Amino acid sequence: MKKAITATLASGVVLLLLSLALLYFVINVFPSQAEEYFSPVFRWSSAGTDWMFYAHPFVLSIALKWFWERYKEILPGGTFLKAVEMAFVYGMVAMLPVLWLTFSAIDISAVMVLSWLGYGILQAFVAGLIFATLNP
Amino acid sequence: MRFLLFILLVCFSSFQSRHVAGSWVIERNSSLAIDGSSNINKFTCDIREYVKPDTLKSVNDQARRKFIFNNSHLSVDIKKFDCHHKYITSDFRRMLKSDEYPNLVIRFVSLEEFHQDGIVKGVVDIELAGKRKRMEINYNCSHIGANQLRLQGVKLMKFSDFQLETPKKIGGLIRINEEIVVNFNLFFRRI
Repeated sequence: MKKAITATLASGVVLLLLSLALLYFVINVFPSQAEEYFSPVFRWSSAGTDWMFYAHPFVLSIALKWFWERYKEILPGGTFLKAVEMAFVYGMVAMLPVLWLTFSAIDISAVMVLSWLGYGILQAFVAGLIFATLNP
Repeated sequence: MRFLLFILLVCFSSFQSRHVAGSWVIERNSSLAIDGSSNINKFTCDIREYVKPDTLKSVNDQARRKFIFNNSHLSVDIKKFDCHHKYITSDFRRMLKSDEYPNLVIRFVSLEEFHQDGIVKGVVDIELAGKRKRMEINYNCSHIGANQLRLQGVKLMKFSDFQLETPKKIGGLIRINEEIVVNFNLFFRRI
């Protein structure tokens, strides 16, 4: 139990740092893409909702840990391959349909949606690596 | 000594013929631009054509060597500001509360007496989003023909001067910065 909690918290912290790093990467390397966050479809920052952004890596870690515990036995290979498999499953099952729906309903670019898909898959891969290492 | 008297005479006659007391109309080709920035890029929101021909009335206060304006203002429709970027334009108008306060009003208070082209100091009251702030602006003043005057001024301001909240997105990680530079480019014509 202690290992599971440690792995989940470690994953949450790493995913938070990853999300900040990737956002600054996009701001500095693809500024025109980052400008899209000024679109009116994105909520203005406020104390009531800002915490949710910073909490999202921990929510994701809890969800992925639950998935990991249920299905880790059927994921093939060693640490790296298990992480790749979990990332692929998460991307296909959880992200693709939701982002498909998001793109159909909200005025955002296809590039933005694809970047979120890639970001989600990367998050699941990193979480998979941490789970496979700390709590195999 | 004669040369000095000659210079004084020239300056005096120049002042006599070029003082701007009276009524002035703000020309259509006047413009206002606001340079701002976010943590992503820089942007300029501008109004390239001033379509409301407001009239300014001034008196020459010889004692204080100033032109004092009387109920003279120019009013700018905030929804006409174009930031040349659809997302920034939308956020900019929202930030300035354009639905509630549709106009940016610049009330001219005074302008230092000027005898020739150069830098002059002016005072304006700027009304934005229901808040008024008095500011000093240094204008570069130049005469264009007999009856036209051009005032170019630059003023550094902050959105917080008008208690305006700048847009922040994604947990505050993407944001518009507080500081703005307002560029005035005003053409006045004597009427």
